[in-house]
Amino acid sequence: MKRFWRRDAVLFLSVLLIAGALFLLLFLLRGKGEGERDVVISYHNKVVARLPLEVDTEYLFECDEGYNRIVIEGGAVRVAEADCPTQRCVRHGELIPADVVPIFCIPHYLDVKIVRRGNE
Amino acid sequence: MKRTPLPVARRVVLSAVLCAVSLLFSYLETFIPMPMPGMKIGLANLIPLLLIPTVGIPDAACVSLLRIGLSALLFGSPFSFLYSLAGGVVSFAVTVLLFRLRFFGLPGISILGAVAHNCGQILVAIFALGTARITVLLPWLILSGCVAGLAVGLLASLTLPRLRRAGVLPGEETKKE
Repeated sequence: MKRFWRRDAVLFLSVLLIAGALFLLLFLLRGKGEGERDVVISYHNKVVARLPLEVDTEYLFECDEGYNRIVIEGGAVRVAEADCPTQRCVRHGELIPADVVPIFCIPHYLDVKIVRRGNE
Repeated sequence: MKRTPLPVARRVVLSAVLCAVSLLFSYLETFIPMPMPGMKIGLANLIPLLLIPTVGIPDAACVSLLRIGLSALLFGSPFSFLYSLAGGVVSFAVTVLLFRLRFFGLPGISILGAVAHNCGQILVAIFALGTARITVLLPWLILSGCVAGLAVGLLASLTLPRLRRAGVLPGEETKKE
């Protein structure tokens, strides 16, 4: 197996480079500029709610699979509580406008993202 | 990689023990804190990496499938079962292919297997959510797969000769070069 070490090292570095390139791509594609933002909550990729980010509020999302309590507070949005088995959405923490990665709750087919007002 | 056929009883016992070990790995991993939710080392993937080159592909496939099914039953949900099954199948296929190819060593095979595992899961998530937007997670998953895959692969290349020497796994302990 020793004879493969160099190939493995090259592979490791090239996979890291690919990941780095993707990060750069996402960074360049990131939505820039100021402006009013909305929190968009989607179920099965269909928008179920669109709430202004600057107004502190709570939204209880309910579907056949369960519920997610979504809290908008201080210009950030988070899932405060959910009955999904993975709890990934809760552990995701706060989402702010600069974030690229939306909050996903895959068991509930839910995603929460921040978009510029007037978009989509 | 000349394989002398193992007695059936030994294969069954070996598979059962290693299945239990991989199940334990899956469980223990849930206690290791990770920077991003859903990220994990994938220690359980050590077992197929050890089994494929020694005992054989069917045994390794059985152990992996059992591990995925049992860990979903014990610590997961039907959803997480589907999720890890997709990752497991894609990763296993890539791993077997790479072993056949004989181009990469255990670390390389493990890295690509881990990245394939994460890509398989992303695919399931795309279908489940009905949106390709989740691909923004892809760089994170490639990065973590790369690092975790390397760790598991190095661990496998350290343990394989030792387990062979100890007589747990079949195969000559001296390899070409």
